Amino acid sequence: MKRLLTGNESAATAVKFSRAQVIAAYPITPQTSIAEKLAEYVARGELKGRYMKVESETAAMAACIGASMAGARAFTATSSQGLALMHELLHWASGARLPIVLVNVNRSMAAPWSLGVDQNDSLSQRDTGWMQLYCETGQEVLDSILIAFRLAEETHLPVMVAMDGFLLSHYFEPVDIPSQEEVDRFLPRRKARFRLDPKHPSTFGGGVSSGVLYDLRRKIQADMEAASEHFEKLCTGFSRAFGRSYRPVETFQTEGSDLTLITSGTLTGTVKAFLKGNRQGPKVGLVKIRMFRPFPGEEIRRALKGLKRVAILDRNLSPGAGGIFSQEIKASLLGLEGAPSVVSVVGGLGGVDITPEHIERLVKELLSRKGSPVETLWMEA
Amino acid sequence: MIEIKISGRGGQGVVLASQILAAAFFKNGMWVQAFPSFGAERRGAPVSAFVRADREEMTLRCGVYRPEWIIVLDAQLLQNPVILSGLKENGSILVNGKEIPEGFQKPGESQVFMVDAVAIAHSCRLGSASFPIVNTAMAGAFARASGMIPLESVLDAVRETVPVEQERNEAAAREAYERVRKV
Amino acid sequence: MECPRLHEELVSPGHFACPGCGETIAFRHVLHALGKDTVVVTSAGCGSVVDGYYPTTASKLPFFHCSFGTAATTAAGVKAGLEMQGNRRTTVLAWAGDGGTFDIGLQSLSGAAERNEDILYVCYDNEAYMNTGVQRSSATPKGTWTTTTPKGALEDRPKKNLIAILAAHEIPYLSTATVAYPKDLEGKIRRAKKMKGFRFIHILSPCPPGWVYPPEKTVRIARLAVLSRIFPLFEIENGNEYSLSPMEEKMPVTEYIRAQGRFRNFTEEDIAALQKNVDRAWEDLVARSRPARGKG
Repeated sequence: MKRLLTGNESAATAVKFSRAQVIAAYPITPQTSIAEKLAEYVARGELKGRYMKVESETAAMAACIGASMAGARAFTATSSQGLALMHELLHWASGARLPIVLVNVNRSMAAPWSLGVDQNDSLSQRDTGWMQLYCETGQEVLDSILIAFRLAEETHLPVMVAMDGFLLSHYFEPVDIPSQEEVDRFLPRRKARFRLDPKHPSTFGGGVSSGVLYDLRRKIQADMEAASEHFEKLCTGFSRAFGRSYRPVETFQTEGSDLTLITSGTLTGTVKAFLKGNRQGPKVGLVKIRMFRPFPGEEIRRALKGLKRVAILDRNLSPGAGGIFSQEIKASLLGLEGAPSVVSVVGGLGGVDITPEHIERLVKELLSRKGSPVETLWMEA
Repeated sequence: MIEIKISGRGGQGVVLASQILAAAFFKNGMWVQAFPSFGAERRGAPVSAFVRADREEMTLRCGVYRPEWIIVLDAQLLQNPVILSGLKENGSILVNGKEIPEGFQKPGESQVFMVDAVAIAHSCRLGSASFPIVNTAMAGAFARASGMIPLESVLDAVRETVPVEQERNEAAAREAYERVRKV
Repeated sequence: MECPRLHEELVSPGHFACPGCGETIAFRHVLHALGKDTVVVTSAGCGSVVDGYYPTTASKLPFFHCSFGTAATTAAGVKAGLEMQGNRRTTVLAWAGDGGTFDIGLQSLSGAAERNEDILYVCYDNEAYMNTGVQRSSATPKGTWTTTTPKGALEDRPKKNLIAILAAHEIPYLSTATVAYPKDLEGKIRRAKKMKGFRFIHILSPCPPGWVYPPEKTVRIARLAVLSRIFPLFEIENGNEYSLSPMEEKMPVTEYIRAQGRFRNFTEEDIAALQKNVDRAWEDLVARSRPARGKG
């Protein structure tokens, strides 16, 4: 049944239906209404869980780690500075193989203070061993969280679901809400294989030798690689249950295109709107990256092979190295026969608005040049 | 695609107004978006919210720059030229007020509608004397002035979207629907 | 109406505060009492947003924004940096809300207090995370409505006794003040300014949208907090020398509670229980204190 919800409300609704048992969250703009809504659900008894009003984001992740290690389904949400405060513990959660789900509402990192959207916060955490899913619509936010809990619990890896601050978190739009029964059928209760239990005492996380650590890291890499396939399997099941299909990488009108844009998050929707109005123009395609970790190298090579030219639109920046999706996508094209020419584009940092008209002008600019320049092209502000 | 801008002051329920209108359009089978201008908000500071409505699903996510309707919840704001910037040619303005402020120049060929939503809020006992809640009245006035959505949709939307005192808010929307006039 | 200017302001009008904001009133008085030879360090919160957005700023003093949990440590760093450049004179003010002091900033606060860093830390306490839209903090009193303690799950813990925590750190100077008594507030700032080491002043800052009352009532609400002795005015030196500040006659808590929508769920029993606790805490404070210092 379709109802109007903001992205944040969609997230809170999904967490409620997922029957999260322990929620520890600290308010930060633009995440706050997720925390407020969940507090309300727990207060009204709509969600039978513990809402811990922790004193900081570090505390929020520490609480989630504890709860998850005890065997409960744990959830938190945050943004920018808050996610950064969790950094040490994000490593901890993945090293401990805990299936925590975190929603990050993308927002620029200080200094200076900025409330606008960009992806530096979540992308700065790409090495922490968390899976990362990027959402374009409120529907995707809701669905991704439901999938994320199963994905996390079946792969024993934490999952971060990212949504653009304001452009998604605060957009009131139609979202199909499942029933609790439908969600229960798709997402069973958590059955933790390893947990803190006086009946079966174990010690977790103690010091290891180099050899053991090395093996654990090889295992996590292997499990991450397998997680991509597992995600696709879950999405097939999700599609059967709810009628909506998702893939780690999705393509639109790329065949025979003169130029294909590669995006993630809400920028994808704006590019789609441009494509819709561009029927008479040059042949432009779109590749949407939904899953960033594990990095879908194979899917990207498959999507880009044989294309003439691609431009990667990064709403993020690694100072000194350029856009982050760009670095990773370019690396995955190494040695690919029939690889396209590639341009790296950075835009929209700090929430600078990008409209279909901006995309139109960008496309003209990109088609007027040739080759794969090393330098990054910056979009007009 | 219809684009509407709503301007008011922090605390006046500008965002809720955008959600009420979006819900009303949604009830008429349209795909909608409603969103605030982002930033730290403060009571009393000027804020804006936006509504988009279209027959088909809208995928774009960016600001509204050429609204065809601008709804102003506080006539005093008309003194600020930024408030009406971007209004489409032959666009329309709906203002909460008793009379057009002195010196106000109607932009181009636009149409201006007016309703004393403060008086309606007072008579329906919405908000306080110093802080009347005018958003539901303005939604009702918009339905009449624009003809884009029936009053019933606005009333349904109020019932679903407004958290408290639905009856008084519905009454306000009804009254504003009757009282709004073109100036 | 033209109001006469009493003195030079170190905060410009046109800032971002809500009408009736207690924090801004406090800030003006604190800066006035400190004077120009001051550097302000502010962590995230109402105080940092109220100052304004680039390219404008309301502060006429040097003003540095730091991360949410680090006001005390950052200020201590500034002080150390100034001293190492030969400037031992400039006062460094850490200006933080209850969120950045009682909760996420508590580690930083305790560390700086324990090391007796030479800064003046002033906490504007509006008893919740107001900047992000009224979520509870550990400074939120029991029974209060906030968005994370809604009806059905109202705040169920008492307000954290931060004064006791800081007294236990045996810092040179610790006091309470509020916006209804500006002379008392400025007097305390001036006293603290003359001292060295870690000095802390706790200012109760009523917040119209968060406490739910009409904006013109801020000073009245602050006064009621003091009169009811829910927020008594006093000073503590070296962790154990208590002195009461001059206050008018004690009155029951009822008017203070009934004046604020955030306490709308208080029953008569709740008020009676609160009265008992306030009375007990007041008797305890009186017992520890020497007679009132100075004039009212």
